[in-house]
Amino acid sequence: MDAYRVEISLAFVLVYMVFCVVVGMWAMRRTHDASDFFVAGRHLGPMVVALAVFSSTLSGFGFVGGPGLVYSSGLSSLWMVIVAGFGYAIGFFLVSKRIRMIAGVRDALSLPDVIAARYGSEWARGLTAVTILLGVMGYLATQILAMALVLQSLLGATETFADISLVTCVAWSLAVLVFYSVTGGIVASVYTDVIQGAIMAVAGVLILLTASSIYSGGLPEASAVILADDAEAALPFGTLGMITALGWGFVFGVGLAGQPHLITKMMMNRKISDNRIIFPMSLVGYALAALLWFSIGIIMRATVLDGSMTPLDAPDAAAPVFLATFAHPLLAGVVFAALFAAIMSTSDAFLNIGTAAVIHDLPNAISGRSVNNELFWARVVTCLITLVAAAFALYSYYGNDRLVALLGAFGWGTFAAAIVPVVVFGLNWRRATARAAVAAIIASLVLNFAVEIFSIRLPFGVSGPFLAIVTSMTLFMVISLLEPEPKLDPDIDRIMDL
Amino acid sequence: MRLINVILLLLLAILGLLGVLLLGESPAGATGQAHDRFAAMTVGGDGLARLGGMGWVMSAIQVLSILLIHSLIALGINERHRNTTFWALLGSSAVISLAVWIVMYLSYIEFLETGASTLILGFPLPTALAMFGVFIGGSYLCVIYIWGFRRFVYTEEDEAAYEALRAAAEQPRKPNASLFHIGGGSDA
Repeated sequence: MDAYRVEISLAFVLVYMVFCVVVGMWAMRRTHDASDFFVAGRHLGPMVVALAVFSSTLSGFGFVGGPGLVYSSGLSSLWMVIVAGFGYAIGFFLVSKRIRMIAGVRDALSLPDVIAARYGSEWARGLTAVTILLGVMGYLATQILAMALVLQSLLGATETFADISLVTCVAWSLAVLVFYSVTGGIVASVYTDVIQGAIMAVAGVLILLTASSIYSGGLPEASAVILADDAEAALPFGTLGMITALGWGFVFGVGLAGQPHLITKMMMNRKISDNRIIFPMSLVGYALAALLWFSIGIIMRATVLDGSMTPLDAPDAAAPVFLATFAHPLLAGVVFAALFAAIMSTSDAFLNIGTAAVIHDLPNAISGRSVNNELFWARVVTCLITLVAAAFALYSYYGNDRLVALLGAFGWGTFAAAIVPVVVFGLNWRRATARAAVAAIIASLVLNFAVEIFSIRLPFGVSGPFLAIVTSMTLFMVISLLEPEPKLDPDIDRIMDL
Repeated sequence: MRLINVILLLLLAILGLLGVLLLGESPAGATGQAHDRFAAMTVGGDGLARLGGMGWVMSAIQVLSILLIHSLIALGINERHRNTTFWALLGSSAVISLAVWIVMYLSYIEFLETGASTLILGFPLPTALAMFGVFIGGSYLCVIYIWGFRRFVYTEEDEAAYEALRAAAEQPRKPNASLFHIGGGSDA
């Protein structure tokens, strides 16, 4: 079976892509209007929402970037994962109930809709939409590039496709992505999330078992190898140091409540009372899937250090090399399929909120109304955004331009800094004002962009997004306290009471 | 003191401590350095030296962050539902997380000073506490959420009030339903 490892992996990926096409066709029959396209008609069951929430938290980055980070910098990135309990707690205690209430009462289709309803401000809606659109372009371009590169590496290992170009791989990947996103909207995304989530959780456990069998002493022996080479790498803050690790913990914990692709899913459940089941299911699923992140990273670093593996050219090769070397071919196939699933469903979720920003939120912010025939335009704009993001990704790759990296970095951290205060305080504090929301969003964008554009390295490794989120939260509170308490619409006022 | 003021004070304190770090001089290798044998790896080197005497500032930031997270969670609960049971549960969660952090930090510093540490499940104590203790501390909040869901998160009275609100909102919305047709979901 080992001789057919590449073919087996390709077969799993192919089966998954066919599955996506089928899901897209099935979802198209369930998508009758913009509400179905953007928020799945708000009638999803708890299992679907739970798996969609945790799959959104752990995108392709968790499969490729996560193990790579452990390989390159020891346990620093541990803090992105172990704070999940706090992150979900903030999301469920502070956001999930009232965001769903406002969505139900105001028929909101997107996060900017909820923000406009809460603050009665088109500026807040428009700025949130712009933030989402900027983040989406960066995220999408990196996801498309990652998908094409993995496909190229898989196909390139076969005789038939040995010389396949990256452009061809981008085209193939886009064909499937566009088909199922355009036809199925968010319905397709959440149902592929279910499969992705299930695969990721199972794969996480199987990879942990595989990784534990590499050394006779299991992962502790691998940890001892790392410890002997450089103690800091095996200690809780890794090689990047304490404040970098703690900053990641803050941004990934508190910042979880500001991820638009994630909290939008909290608007889609049928019943608010389902949150009682969704929270623990999301957390358990995430914990199982995240096992992959550390077990692969630790084993790869240890085996390279002790000379049993050749050094990697790049940290991101950690997961593919581990799968090619240590995993059973069937398991490797499953994990590669899960990787595509993660990239595909994350891309679809981002396409969805990006499309909503273009055809629904920005027109509403500017002219007070959405475009006519939203469903039709949603499908057209989904295609356009995908094509622009793909062109952007290829331009960046071949032109060695920093723009994608810049917008990629404009991802989790910037969403966190811009959206957390607006959502977390806005949904739980009557005094939160529209001016504070606008100021917090602008301040966080300026701060994050400035640190990235000018490549500013802060002392002791304080991360830009950490500084930005604390600053924007503080600024939000100070401005709100300096202003008179806003008068809320009666329905919003009542929701704030519940 | 009102909860919202506590949150603002915590944020200002974190910002102030970040300011102390930003104004300080970063020691060489504070964020690691290249591994001498493997290009794609970094090493931390002398952990104590690269803290540059600022370990207590970083530790204080984490203590404040734990308190901030718990204060935010209290903000998420309606004031009239914040009863003694709720505060006791939330307080116990904060105490657990703070205890995990303090033991982790002290054992980390001890390891840097002595090079020795108790092993838990094969990992040095601070690493084991980070891997298992922090996650379990956060998961305890999940247990509080499940147990308290109908007691203080979303009571049956809240649900009934929301249902009434939604039903009222449905009435004027119907004439405009051609623009955004509502899916078949119930909003209970």
